Amino acid sequence: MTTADALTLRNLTAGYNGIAAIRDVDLVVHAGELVTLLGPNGAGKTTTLLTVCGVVSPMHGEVLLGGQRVPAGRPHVLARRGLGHVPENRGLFFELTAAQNMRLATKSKVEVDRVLELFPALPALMGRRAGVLSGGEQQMLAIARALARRPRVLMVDELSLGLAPLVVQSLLASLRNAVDDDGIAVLLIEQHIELALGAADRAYVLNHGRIALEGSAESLKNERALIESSYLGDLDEVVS
Amino acid sequence: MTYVQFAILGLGAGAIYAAVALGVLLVHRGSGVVNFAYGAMAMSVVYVYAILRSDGNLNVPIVGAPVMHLGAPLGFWPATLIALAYAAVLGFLCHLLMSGPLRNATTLARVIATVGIMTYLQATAALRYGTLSTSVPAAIPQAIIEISGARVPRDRIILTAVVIGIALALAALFKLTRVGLAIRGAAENEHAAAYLGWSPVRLSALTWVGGTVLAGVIAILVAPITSLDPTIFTLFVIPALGAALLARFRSFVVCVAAGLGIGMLQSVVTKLSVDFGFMRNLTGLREGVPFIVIVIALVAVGASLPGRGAMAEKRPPPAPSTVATFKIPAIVSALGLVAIIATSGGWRYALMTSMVTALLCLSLVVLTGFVGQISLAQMTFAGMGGFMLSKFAEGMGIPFPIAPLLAALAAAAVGFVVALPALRVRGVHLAIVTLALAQGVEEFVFKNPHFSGGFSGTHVPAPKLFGLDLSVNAKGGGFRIAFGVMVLIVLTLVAVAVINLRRSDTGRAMLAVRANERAAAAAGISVVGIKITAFTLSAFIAGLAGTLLAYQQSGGNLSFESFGVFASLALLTSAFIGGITTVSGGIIGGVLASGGLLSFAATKWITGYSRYELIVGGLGLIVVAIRQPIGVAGEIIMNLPKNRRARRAEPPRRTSASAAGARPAVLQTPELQGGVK
Amino acid sequence: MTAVLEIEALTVTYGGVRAVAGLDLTVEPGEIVGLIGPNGAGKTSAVDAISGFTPSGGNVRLAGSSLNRLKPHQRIRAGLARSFQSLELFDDLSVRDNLRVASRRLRWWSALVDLVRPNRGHDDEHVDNALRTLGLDDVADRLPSELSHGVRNLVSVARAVVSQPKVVLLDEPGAGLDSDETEALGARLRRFADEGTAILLIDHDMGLVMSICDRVYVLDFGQLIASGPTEQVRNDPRVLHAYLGEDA
Repeated sequence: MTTADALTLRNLTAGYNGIAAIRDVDLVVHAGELVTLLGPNGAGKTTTLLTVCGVVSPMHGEVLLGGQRVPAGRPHVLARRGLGHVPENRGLFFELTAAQNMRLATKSKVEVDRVLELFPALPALMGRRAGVLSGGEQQMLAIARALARRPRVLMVDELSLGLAPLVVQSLLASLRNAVDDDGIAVLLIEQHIELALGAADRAYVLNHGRIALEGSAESLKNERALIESSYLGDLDEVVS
Repeated sequence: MTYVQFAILGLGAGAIYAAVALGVLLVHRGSGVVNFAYGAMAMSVVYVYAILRSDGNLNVPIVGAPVMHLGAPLGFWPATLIALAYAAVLGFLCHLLMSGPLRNATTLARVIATVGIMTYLQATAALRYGTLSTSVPAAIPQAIIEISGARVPRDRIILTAVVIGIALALAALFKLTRVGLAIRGAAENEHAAAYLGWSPVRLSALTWVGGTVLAGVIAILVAPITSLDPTIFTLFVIPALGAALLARFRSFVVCVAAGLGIGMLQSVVTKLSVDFGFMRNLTGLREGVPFIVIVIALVAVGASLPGRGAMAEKRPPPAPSTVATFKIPAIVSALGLVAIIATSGGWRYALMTSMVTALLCLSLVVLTGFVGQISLAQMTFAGMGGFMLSKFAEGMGIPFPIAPLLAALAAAAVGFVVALPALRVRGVHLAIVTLALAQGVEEFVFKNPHFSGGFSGTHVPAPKLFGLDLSVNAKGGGFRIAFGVMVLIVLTLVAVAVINLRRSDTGRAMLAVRANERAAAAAGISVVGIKITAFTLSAFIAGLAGTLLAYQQSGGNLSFESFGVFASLALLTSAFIGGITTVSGGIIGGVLASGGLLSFAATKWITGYSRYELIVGGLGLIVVAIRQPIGVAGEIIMNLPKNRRARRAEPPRRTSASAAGARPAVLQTPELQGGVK
Repeated sequence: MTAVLEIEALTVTYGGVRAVAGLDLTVEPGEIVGLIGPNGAGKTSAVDAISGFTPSGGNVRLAGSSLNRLKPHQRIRAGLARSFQSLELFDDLSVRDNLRVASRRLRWWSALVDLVRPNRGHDDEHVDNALRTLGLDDVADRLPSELSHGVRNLVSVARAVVSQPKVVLLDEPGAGLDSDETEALGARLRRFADEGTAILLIDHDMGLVMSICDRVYVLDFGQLIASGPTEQVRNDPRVLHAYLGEDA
């Protein structure tokens, strides 16, 4: 185990009401690396993330953050140890302004200003309630808020959900910058295969709760047919 | 005195309503719990303070705890500091209960737990401090000052300024500080707050401690004006809940304005009823004000009341269907018959009380157990039955079996009417409405001599059928078998009807509504129709029990006390401890109830037990809430040999990963499960 | 043949955001029509609006009569049933009772009769049929919480069809099923359609939709981006673009 393994999932089985939703998942994200987790609806991607951040308790196996085992059931402790998480619903406080959302992430004005530089559209929106922002602006705010805590590992669930491809591309670019410049580790759930593989270093494909494929983003681009068959059912025949 | 003077005098009570309301609101934001016990908590803080001031004793409301003598009577500051330290501990203990064993409990279970805390504190206060009104030394100057011609005591103005100041400070805290923002954020989305490193549990603890200390401070300042006794202070929570509702559990400033407003309105109403002859008969109007305010609040803001993005919600307790055999009801009835004949004197009376209370519990089984609607006003429906019986039988001379049936139908009609505004709300808000209804009707109707005979009680003629005397009192003292048999027959008929209901289409529809209102509507069920049915049926059963209670009580003289707020709370306690979801639970509830068999036995064998009865009830309620309210009956059913076997043999599960798409239960918020308007 | 379900200019707005913008859609008796689109495209909002669970603009007509003013349970009684993506089964009731609840129409006096005669002469023919057709006979007396997600899915479909609706809206009935189970579900749905039920099938996953639907509508960002016979839609470049995010 090298210290560069920011996040390690070892043999992880987890689920709800005693029924496993993911089984024997092995996954590593190194510092300074953007890893994407692909897979069709219901494959267990969100469950994987919820298990890592301590909301779902593992039934078997373990999660290591910076080489240390993480306590289950205490998401705030993990957050303090450097885990950032942007959940599928983005987890914004809609009643609060964008600025107040940022303030809850960090005391430091310096950090807020630093992050706002990454998202040039945000400063103008800081006085507005998060609930009235557009989908793209909300996602931007959610990611900015997570980055303001300078996490060692950042997990983003369904980055592109309901967003136009151009918006997604700019968000991915911002994430890429954070990975390259600050050396954080990013684990990204994404349904647009093309966009995800374009931005990521490595990728895992989850199907029916198990890792079906893994490899560098480059190599998986050549396995398109395989990935798509799990995504689109028999549509792959048409594409190929 | 002028109306302005009266309005300003009302600021005293208004200040305590406002302060308790602020506590309710704070805790609701911090932990999502609506705390029915806040009045009782404030009351116990004032008692600790008052006894330190008068005797220099530290006397906390824990049964068996020694009274610590700290020397000479303490002055204002040391007494206040110690009392507030106690308030902080009390708030923290409540927090531990809510965020520990009840963290993922249903709304129902949490409400029940706070009612348990309220009952415990009120009963313990009565035990340790006495039920008489205690005077509390004034802490702020009461000199009379003149405001635009009206001569008013200065303390009212100071108190008003203090609560308004606190509200503004809280509003600023929630707008400007990180902690305040975090509490608001966590109220909206606990997980998201945790992902940013905030511990929702700690935020909740903060609001519990802060809210209790705050309510305690104001209570200490107000108590000299309102005087202190265990029940009145406990019920301050009703106007406070009204104020919190008007503020939509959100705005501190609206909340304080509403609390002060209710206090002023009550005072003005008092003046009105002195000034205008036609209002003189409306004696309880003052106490009716909170109920009216709450109903208006619900009509005005009901639809926009917030739910809360809590982390998880447990399922309601199971309501197992009875097997299609009437063997057990037959055996139980036969045992009942034997018991009526075999017992005599106090035992027979206790048996009768148990049977009537079992009937009342069954009315809650239908409403709360099957449909999940909480009612804290069940004795109000019973009272309607009892008093209407007096009107029909005594006033109009309607003969026996018709008069009580008509009276029960009248109670059902009241249930139907109450259901209409109640349809706009669910869960905890319904509990608030019904609690206010219970108090309003008790004060305004039951205590009103024009309706009920007031303190002297109302008379009901003895029931006679075809020359058969069914009255309760025997000529030479003691209690008659005939009456017991009549109660047994009614109870058996109702129990069988409720068992039938559970097994029928209507019963399944009721459980469907309880489980998931959206899905019930999608299955073609009229959610509104089912709720109205349940309210009406439940009120009918309660009304029927009320007529029996009227016949039973001292041979036909019934008084308002049997149908008041605390009677309703005591009934809820028995019903929940017995088991709210099953007919057998209702019967057990009757056996456990105050004045019933178990309580009679305990009183006979344990010296002074009656003084501890309510305390045991309050603690029992908390335990039941923690155990996922299945009650004694539920525990028995779960431990029947066949069910134990069933649990040991785990149901075979398909092991393919096909469960992967399951919605994570942890993410189900009340909003997601939401209902249909 | 005339359409049994007609949707005109259906619009759903949440706090200023248009989740569905002017959707026109028809379903004919015996037809299985797909409504597909990527996550967040507005499919579930459309179902909620058609079934009355969410306020909406536009018109919904069932067999010629307008449903616009009807509440959800009244729409179901008029013959428009639905399932939920999140299943929303009644956890306290057995599988059979879940279906019974949906197959009975209560009258205002039902409760009174039920107090005395709870099981008066009902035949459970529709319930038994639905259980048999979806292969749920073996689990009829089990509680939903004891079943796997795939089976729970089938229960949810069975509960939607048991009331003999004219039209049934199925929201992601294939979620969490493996490929064999999906295929079996498709065959069963086809059987319901052949008996005359019109089915509007909502799915994120195109596999099931492409294999059994007669026609398909595709939503993206609340807008209809394509519609027509299944073969035609599956080759539409706009659809591939919406799904794969690539320039087609």
